[in-house]
Amino acid sequence: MNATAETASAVASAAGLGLQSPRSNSRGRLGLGLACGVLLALGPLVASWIARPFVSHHQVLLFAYDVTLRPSSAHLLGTDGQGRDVVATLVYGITPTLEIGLLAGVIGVIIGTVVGVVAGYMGGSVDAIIRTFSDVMLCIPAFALLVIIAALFGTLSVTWLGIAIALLSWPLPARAIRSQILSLREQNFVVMSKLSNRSGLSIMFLEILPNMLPYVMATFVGLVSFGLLTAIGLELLGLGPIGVVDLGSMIQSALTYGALSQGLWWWWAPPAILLVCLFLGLFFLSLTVDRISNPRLAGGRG
Amino acid sequence: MQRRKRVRLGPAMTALAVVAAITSAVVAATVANARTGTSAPRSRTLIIGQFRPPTGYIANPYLGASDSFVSDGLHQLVYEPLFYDNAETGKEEPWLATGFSYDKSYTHLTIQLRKGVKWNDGVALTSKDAVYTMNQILSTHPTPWRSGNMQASVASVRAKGPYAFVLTLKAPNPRFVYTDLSTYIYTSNFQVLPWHIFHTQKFTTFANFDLKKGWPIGTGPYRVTSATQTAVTLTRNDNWWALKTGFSHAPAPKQVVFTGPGPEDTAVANLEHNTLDYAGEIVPTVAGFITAQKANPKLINWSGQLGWDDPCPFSLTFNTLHKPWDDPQMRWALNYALNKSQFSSLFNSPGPASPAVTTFPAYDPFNALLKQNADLLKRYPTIKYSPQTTAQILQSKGYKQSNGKWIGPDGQPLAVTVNIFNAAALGPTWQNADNLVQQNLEQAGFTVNMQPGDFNAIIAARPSYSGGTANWDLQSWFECGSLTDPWATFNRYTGAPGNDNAGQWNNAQYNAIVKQMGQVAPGDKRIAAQFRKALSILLGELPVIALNQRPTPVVFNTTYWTGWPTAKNPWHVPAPWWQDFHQVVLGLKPAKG
Amino acid sequence: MSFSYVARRVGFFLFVVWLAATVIFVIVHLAPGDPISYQVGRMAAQGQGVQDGALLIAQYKKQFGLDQSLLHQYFAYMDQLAHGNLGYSITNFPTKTTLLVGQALPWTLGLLLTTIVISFVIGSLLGGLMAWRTTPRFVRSLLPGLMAFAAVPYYIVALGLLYVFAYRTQLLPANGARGVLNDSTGLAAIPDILRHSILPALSIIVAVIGFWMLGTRSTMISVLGSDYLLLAEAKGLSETRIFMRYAMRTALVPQITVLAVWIGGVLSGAILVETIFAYPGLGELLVTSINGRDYPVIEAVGLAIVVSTAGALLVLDLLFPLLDPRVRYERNS
Repeated sequence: MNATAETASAVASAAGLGLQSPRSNSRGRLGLGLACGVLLALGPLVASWIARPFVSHHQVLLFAYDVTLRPSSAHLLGTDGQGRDVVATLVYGITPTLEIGLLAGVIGVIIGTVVGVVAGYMGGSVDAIIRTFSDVMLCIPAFALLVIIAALFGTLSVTWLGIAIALLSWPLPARAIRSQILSLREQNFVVMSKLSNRSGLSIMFLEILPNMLPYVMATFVGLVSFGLLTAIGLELLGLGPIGVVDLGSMIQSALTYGALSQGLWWWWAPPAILLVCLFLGLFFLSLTVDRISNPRLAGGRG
Repeated sequence: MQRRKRVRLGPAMTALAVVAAITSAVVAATVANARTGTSAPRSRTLIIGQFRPPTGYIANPYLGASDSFVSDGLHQLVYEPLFYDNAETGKEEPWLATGFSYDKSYTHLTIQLRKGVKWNDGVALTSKDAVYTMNQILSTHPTPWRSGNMQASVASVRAKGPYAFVLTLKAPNPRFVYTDLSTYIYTSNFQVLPWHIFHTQKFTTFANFDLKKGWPIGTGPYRVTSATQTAVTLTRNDNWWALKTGFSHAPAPKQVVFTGPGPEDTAVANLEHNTLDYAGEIVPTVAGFITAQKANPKLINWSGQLGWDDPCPFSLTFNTLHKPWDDPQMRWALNYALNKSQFSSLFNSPGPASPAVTTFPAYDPFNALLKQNADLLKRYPTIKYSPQTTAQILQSKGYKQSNGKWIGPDGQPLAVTVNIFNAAALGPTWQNADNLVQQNLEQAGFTVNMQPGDFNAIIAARPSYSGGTANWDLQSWFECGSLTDPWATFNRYTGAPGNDNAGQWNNAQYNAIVKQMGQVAPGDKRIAAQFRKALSILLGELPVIALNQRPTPVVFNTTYWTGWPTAKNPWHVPAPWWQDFHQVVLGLKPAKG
Repeated sequence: MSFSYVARRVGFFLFVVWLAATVIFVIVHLAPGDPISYQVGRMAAQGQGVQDGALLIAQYKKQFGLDQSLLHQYFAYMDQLAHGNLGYSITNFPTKTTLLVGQALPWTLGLLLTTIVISFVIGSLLGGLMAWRTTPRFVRSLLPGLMAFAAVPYYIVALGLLYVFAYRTQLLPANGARGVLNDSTGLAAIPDILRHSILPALSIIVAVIGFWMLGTRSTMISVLGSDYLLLAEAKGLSETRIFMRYAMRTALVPQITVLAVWIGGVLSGAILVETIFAYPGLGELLVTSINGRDYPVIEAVGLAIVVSTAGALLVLDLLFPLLDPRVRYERNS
């Protein structure tokens, strides 16, 4: 019915962001991409966990130290405008940032996958209802709605923010997964399962889904990216979770303090660089997983 | 088939040509930027970096919507009040009026108007305009903007010849001229309207804005010549009435522009490059001012690094109807747990902290009064940070510590619900302020439940506005009251009905003293003794915790204009958003020839 | 394209608009605070001690119909909408909502339309080139760099650009839509407007170009082996012509559908860009009206955003059969 959304999701599922190369891809290149992605995306998180025993939480309290100290041996990245040690803030700030992204990704991928699989497999009126519902949600921009909600109701906690983002971002992945299911549905192994009288539910989730795991992974990475993007956007507007110091709120704090014009690079640059790292890592991951999930892409054309 | 070597214009080149075309168009636009200035040269233009987008362009000061537009130069330079009240010198400067007189009972107030005042379209201003305006105010319901006090205090008005009018007050009110007919914190509540323009319009919806007709018509030395969503431009009116009568001189700036200073970094850059002659109140911060001044030594602040004290210190109000906050000792226990110097540092950083000892602004008249009562302040050390004293008081009340939290005799933890401004309400510093309050209280052992809210959430929770009951224990607010005479701030905490007393503290002895003070004219000798009595009760009971004074950088650029008021030469209040800015503009001189 | 198809699509559009209007109405009215209390609070903030604040608020609420039940207010609002009336702003009474939105909309639309068009055109061109056989190596080497930019959020790009072009150097203005001292109007104002829109536009374009590049590259690759391209080459047509009229045309079709779906995201992103650059568009209007709880304006802006998003989808759905003949024939068969 909604031809535009149909084609859009078909594009997303088939071509997506995959790097199609006329020449075939070696496994080595895939492995390199994967390694890069994991390193950039998860490296900072692991590093922060390792650093925690050495960095006490006390250093993140307001006025723990003098304000805006330059980097020195005592403070590797100096202190910020409210007397917090910047390294400590980074160590304790990466976790909430990723938490929101992961929460949004996990919940979003669960909802999107279940909805997409059910709609694609069951077809008929169930499919029509789900399709209409997701079409409606596609028309309402997530970020604008979140701005309105966060501003009116006094912001959301880390958990609720992740849930809210997930609830607003599942439609497109659901549509894309549905397109995949539509093509998988006619395959032999599915027909066999139907003939062997297995229940619809078990066919959907025990037969079809395992074949789509790489594709679901790709969707997951995309959702995490989107979740991070939205959450940090909200924080830059001052609408992020309260009392939580994470990368986005550090940048916002620095901006409103005037760190850009006062040359306090050690305050605003490190979180920005870390964020770029995170996003690049997620991007590499999505490229590689796309290639894995779409053998047609990896195989290349003749 | 062999691949042909491409030598001719391939698709790559075509595409790049498209890209190059788009880029060069944009670059051309950048370079060709016609830097057409306004019609006056820069050295005769005054650019004020303070602006609120005039949504709707409503210039009728009695409509709430006018609030933003009026602050962009209208009430400063187009409208003029009956009296300017110089809060720095304490002197009244009669302007459209020449004086006032009360009868013995303080219920009949006669205002004399100045002869020779003309509206900017040449029509003379007479008592007809003043009487018309006051009658509109009294007869309009719901109450017009800023007219609540006038409706409540004035019974009727009548003209007494063309240059005087008499107000009949409902009750003796020696402060009425001071609070409503003069500029009193920010503006004068009473603005005389031109009868010849307003009487054909509907008072409650007339916008009074049409540049082709020359509206808004005022009596001031400037007229609005351009108003957009990003700037309001006012041009000097060389037919100003005060020039004709010789009452005043022509102001030096030929044009005045009110525009947004931009966010922090932009404001600093603008000050450094002399694109602004003033910025303050919101941006730049103290740190920003220091940076800007290093790059541009012609920048001056009202005073030192911190600037000018806004007359409304921040505070935390106790809900005295909630147990255990009905007990003054418990209130003091919590007071000792808050580090007000740290709180103030958040706003003043990197300048020195300015914690508030009482809810009076740190202006000279109050500093003098507080000095006289230094012994009271020693007995009640409001800004002392001492969690040990908190512990002592709580232990004496039967609270025990368990896992760093205080548990009461009933087994319940000592909980505090704090309804506090968030970043959306009054600026991003409040994000850290909220964290600090939570941090302080939790370190002292309280179980804290933070309820941050924007302006609306706070007001909705404030019984004096919402009419409901408060479900918080502490609420942040700002204490706007006295400027030179102490009665207004004291009056905030009386139990009078309709009063903005959100904590609902009601002390009969205190109420009586304040009532007495209200019946005496400002400046009376009896006030000092009344001040001491009221202060000792207020400090002992502490229904409101004063947090910090609010110095704000008020940055002037002396590259093009000099003569600004500063703390060293406080000849007027410096705030460009106040109506009094009119007097400052009259006093400015060009710096370069 | 059958009449029933058009009717269904338009019906869907109206349904979405109605649903969005209802959702926004409910959210906005459930939030604590209201426009009247906000005004009264502002008076207090300016040192105007408000006597009988509660009474004043009650009186104004009555005037604006805010004292009636939520359901009653909802039906009044729906009735108003059905007549095409967006009402008066409460905070800025007696200004009409349409005036406020009308002042802000051109700035947002101008910024968005130009950035969308520029990034789509340049991005797709470059993407198509990446997949084309004879593109010189130096052009292909642009790919990884621009891809990396696609990963970075546009607001970080915006901050970086601000730092380099507006603070470190003074090449471009850091904020606002017009120069402060520039009161030129009409055509003379264009250079000034363009100059102020470069940084905001650039932030979005730089961050988004990689996305279109990759997409068009993929679709172009799937087009490459087609028979009709081979035929065109055999006919002796110039390479540029084959690239533009045959290959790109087919490759772009799916991209346009992605564009339609994507517009909602761009509108939201504009809110943030406008805040960073103090651009007086819909984003700023939304934030101000939310702070003031100006219900009619919030509802109007929200509606404008949803109507644009849903409208773009509707327009593309109706035009789609014209773009892609396969769909047209499929439907008719």
